[in-house]
Amino acid sequence: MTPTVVIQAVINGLLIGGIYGLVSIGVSLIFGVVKFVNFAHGEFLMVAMFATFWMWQLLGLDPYVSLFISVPLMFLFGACVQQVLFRRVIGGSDLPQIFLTFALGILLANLALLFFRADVRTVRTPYTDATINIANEIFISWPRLIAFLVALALSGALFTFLTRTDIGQAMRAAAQDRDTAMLVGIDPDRVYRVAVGLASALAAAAGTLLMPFFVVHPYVGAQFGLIAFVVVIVGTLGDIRGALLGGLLLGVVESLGIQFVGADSGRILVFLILLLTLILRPSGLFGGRGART
Amino acid sequence: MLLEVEDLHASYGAVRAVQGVSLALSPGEAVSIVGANGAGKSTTLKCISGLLRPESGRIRFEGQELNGRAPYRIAALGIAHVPEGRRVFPELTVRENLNLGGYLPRAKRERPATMERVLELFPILRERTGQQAGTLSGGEQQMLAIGRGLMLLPKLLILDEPSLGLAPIMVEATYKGIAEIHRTGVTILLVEQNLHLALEFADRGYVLESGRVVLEGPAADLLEDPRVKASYLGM
Repeated sequence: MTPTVVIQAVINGLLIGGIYGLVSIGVSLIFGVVKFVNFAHGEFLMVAMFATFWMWQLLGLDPYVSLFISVPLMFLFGACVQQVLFRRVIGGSDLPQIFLTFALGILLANLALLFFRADVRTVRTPYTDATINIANEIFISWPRLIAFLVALALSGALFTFLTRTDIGQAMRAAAQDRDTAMLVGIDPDRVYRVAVGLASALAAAAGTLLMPFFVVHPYVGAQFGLIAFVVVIVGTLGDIRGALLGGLLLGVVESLGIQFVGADSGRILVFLILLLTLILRPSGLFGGRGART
Repeated sequence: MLLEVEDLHASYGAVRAVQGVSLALSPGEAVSIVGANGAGKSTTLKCISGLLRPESGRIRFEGQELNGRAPYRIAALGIAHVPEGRRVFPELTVRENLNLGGYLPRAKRERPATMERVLELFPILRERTGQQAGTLSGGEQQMLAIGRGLMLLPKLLILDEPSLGLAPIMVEATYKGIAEIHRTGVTILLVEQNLHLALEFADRGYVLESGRVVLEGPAADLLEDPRVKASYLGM
């Protein structure tokens, strides 16, 4: 084990960790504001990945261009899903929420299977294999670096939105005290549509940013969904900052696991962290409540 | 009449909290509802602001029927309800709390000016604008909650137990602020356990007992009336 290998593994982990963070922020935002766990979140990401793939395949659109299409479309998709489906189960008991979001995830995955079959697809761009050599034997992949930087920028933008805009503040207020929020004139349903819309838009951004260096297939959502659920537990459910930091942490842990435990069992370390968190700090590393910023 | 409540009935599940309350407020009045714990005071307020759906009865504000409207639509008509227990948004800063008080279009344009007025009314808040509201003292939270209500530029300001759990000096500062708000022409509907405080402040009063109005009249008369104290003590 040379230091170069370790440094390379940490860099790779951090870069993919940014994407994990972006997906997890969505799960955490929905939980913090609307108070349920969206088990279909990974599948939202999968939908955006397929959309990106087809826009490239059929229209020749570069993923960094189709980002400007997939993100607003998924915002609308999320807002509609909230209005038509999720709204009916919020405020009630946990089970209908779990069943509904889980079923939606299965439905989306199977629709993808029906229309696109189980083929593994990817987008080939001129920059897919482009790297920067930052030091002797240490390389950074361009598309991964771009994904990481855009993920950080979007996380920062969300943070600014939640603290600086009226609707962002209203979202936090409704998360903390729904009744009182209504008394100052906030319509919680509207706030919930925006929250689920934004969370879906972030998943879309993550999915599109992944496409230049990752593959899409109908079950890819489960892979990212699973990581996101571990991240939000480790990073404290409902905590936006915790989701981002948790994403980076688990990205690195996973990458080290792949490097030193084995490519097939790299996630052993991820779930070890999950178990340790649940045993030692069940409320997560950033322990708190509500939609934290 | 600014606000008219007629034969209001409301309950929480099997518990009948309000059983036929009627009251009316003219523009510019300050009116108190007093009564023992569980007399139905807070329940009446919740029906007015839409947090609780009445079983029957009519509530009209400036002639418009309020029954069945969502709280945020009622707020948009100019009714600000400062709930019992203050209910500031604990993890938002003082400034963000005030800012959200002026969230509705009716108040948004005047927001900087109104915020300045609130900070003049409750100077303690000025030193705390960047602080999380949950870290304020009880009295400061009460002032913030009232200030947040004022940010709506309300025609009617509803206050539920503003003195509850406050140190006497804070009660005084809070009521000084409320009196100042009333002087600017805002109609005030006040619920208080503290009989003297409520009736010394108000023009008129209603005494509630077991969900019904048992006495009403000018506040000065009610203060003298032995039946008020009796009802208050549940005798």
